[in-house]
Amino acid sequence: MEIWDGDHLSELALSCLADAQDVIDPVARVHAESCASCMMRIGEMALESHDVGVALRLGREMSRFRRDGKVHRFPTLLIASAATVAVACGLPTVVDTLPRAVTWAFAAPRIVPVVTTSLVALVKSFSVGPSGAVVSLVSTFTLALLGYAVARASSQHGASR
Amino acid sequence: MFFAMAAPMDAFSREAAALRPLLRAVAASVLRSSPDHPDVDDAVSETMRRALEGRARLRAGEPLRGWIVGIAKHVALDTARSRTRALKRQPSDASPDSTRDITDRIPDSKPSPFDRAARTEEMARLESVLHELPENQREAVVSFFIEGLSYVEIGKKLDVPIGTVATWILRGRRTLAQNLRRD
Repeated sequence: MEIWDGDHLSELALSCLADAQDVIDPVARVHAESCASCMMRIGEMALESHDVGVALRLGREMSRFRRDGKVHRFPTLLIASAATVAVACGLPTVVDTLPRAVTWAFAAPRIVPVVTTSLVALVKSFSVGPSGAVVSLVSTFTLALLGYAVARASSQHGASR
Repeated sequence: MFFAMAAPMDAFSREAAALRPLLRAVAASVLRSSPDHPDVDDAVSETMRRALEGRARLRAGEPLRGWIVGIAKHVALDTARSRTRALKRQPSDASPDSTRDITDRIPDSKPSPFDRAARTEEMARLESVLHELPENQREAVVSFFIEGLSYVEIGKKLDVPIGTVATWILRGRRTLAQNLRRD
């Protein structure tokens, strides 16, 4: 290893001393402690070494944290459940109104009164009897809960990215 | 006091004391003063005091050198700030040219959110630069800076002479440091 560069220590020797490695000839060590110029260079290199070391360790910890961190997936299952509940609850009404809807499609000139009538019929179908009201309430509550869960899971998914 | 001084030094104290010349170099470099300057002496003594009192904070496996150099850097920066404040209080006695350099070089110790964001980007960039280093340099740099191995241990691990290890670490560190300074 080249230790001297003229009257001063070589870059390599300074680097070893800056990293506090006991691999340099004692004569070079004595010179470093008595030469202000070499001492300053060692100080600069030690600071550089410290900064690089800190940055590398932090970077490594950050990437490990990212790798080990919990990954929040998009709540596909929740959305599918919500959609299933919505379809199941709306199915009786849809089945009931589908033939009429087809008829309505062919009755374009009379569309406005027909839409009004069907809306009235739809409201009536939900409000008739206690079972209709219970189904309506339960489905609304379930959908609201699922909506909340989806919003919560989505915000976690966004934050984890 | 006598008994405290006369007490036998433990391994930590011995290892820390062996780093005194390095700490002197770091303090002199930060303060831009001669290694014999009283401020440098004070900074080294204060560093040793803080290191000995705060030794419990040194995490297992963390190299003492890096930890204690970090303390020396902060102590020297504190000294430089005190110097600046003292010179501001006595503007007529101060020579502006000698202080400007120190004042300009002292960063604010509290990072702003922008600093933290920039630091995060810097880490990511450094990690990618590390992966771009030649394999032998990268392995030496990782062994030294992250695993905390000595040059001798790295030489044995990679089966190369010490001089080669020193060269790889010097080159690798220089590349990484240039990247850290690129901003």
